[in-house]
Amino acid sequence: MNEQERAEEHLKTIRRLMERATIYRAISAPTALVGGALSLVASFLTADGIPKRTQSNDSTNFFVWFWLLVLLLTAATNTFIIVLGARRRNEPVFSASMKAAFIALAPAFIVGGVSTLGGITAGADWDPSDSFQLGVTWAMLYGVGLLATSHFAPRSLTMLGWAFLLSGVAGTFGGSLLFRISPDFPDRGVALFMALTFGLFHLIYAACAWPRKGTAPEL
Amino acid sequence: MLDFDKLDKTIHEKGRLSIMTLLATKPSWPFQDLKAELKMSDGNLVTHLRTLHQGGYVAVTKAMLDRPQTSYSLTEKGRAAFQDYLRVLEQIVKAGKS
Repeated sequence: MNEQERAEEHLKTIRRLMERATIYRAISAPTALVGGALSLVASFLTADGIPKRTQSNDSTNFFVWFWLLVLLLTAATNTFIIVLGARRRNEPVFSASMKAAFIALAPAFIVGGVSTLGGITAGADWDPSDSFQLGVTWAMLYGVGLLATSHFAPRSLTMLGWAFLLSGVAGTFGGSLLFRISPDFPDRGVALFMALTFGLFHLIYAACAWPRKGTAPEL
Repeated sequence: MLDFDKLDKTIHEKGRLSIMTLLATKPSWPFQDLKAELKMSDGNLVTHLRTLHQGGYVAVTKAMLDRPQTSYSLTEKGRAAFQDYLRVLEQIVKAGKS
């Protein structure tokens, strides 16, 4: 290898390492573990809760507020972990990478918020199949949000984004088909969908992305 | 005509170049993060870091958090040397293409 080839190889190494070093994991493994576990619990509880409450006008609020609570607890966990990590690395909490991730995620979350407002204000007009559609919409928008971070996210997070997006697409078409076959499907279907996506996908991601650590030797 | 001797021999080694590159991306890197990112053995990484430290390119900080943590950062001299090294590399590549 001559000096020019070596120089080119070294420049490639520098570029690759710099790109890798600026990777930002918007969803940490512990956050995914907490979010996934909470989602499984919420799915289990709402699977029975929604059918019982469809007789009254607060069925919509029950579904939406329950899942908003899951989001809130998961977001609080993520914030806590980000602050701990920033302190450990002696870096500012609002790093440039975090701001970039926030900006990338914002459009999908804004649209998700607006879609959810419809669920909160629908009242008695809400149909159980609407809960399913809202869950599917959340999954697709969450997937789109994660994919928007893909130019600086690790591969596992990009794959998680695709998993949510494709599950949402499958849920949209598959759900419509199942509604025709089984009129009772939406009640349990939304719980199953949320358990598989927000529950199981997050747990798989947490297992793949869990940090492995040791101790630092002396120089 | 390019003088290849201009290339800083301390940096012109793949392991040390990788360390310098990572240190240039953030203010400080804990040892374990460097090790995980570069997939080097403890001994190999320590040897390269020692060489860079002795050359005055890398500063070492020891802190007591949950457990003892050793972090590394580029010194002013190290940052300037890395930038000079990059310039020479670019010149070599350009000269080869012209």
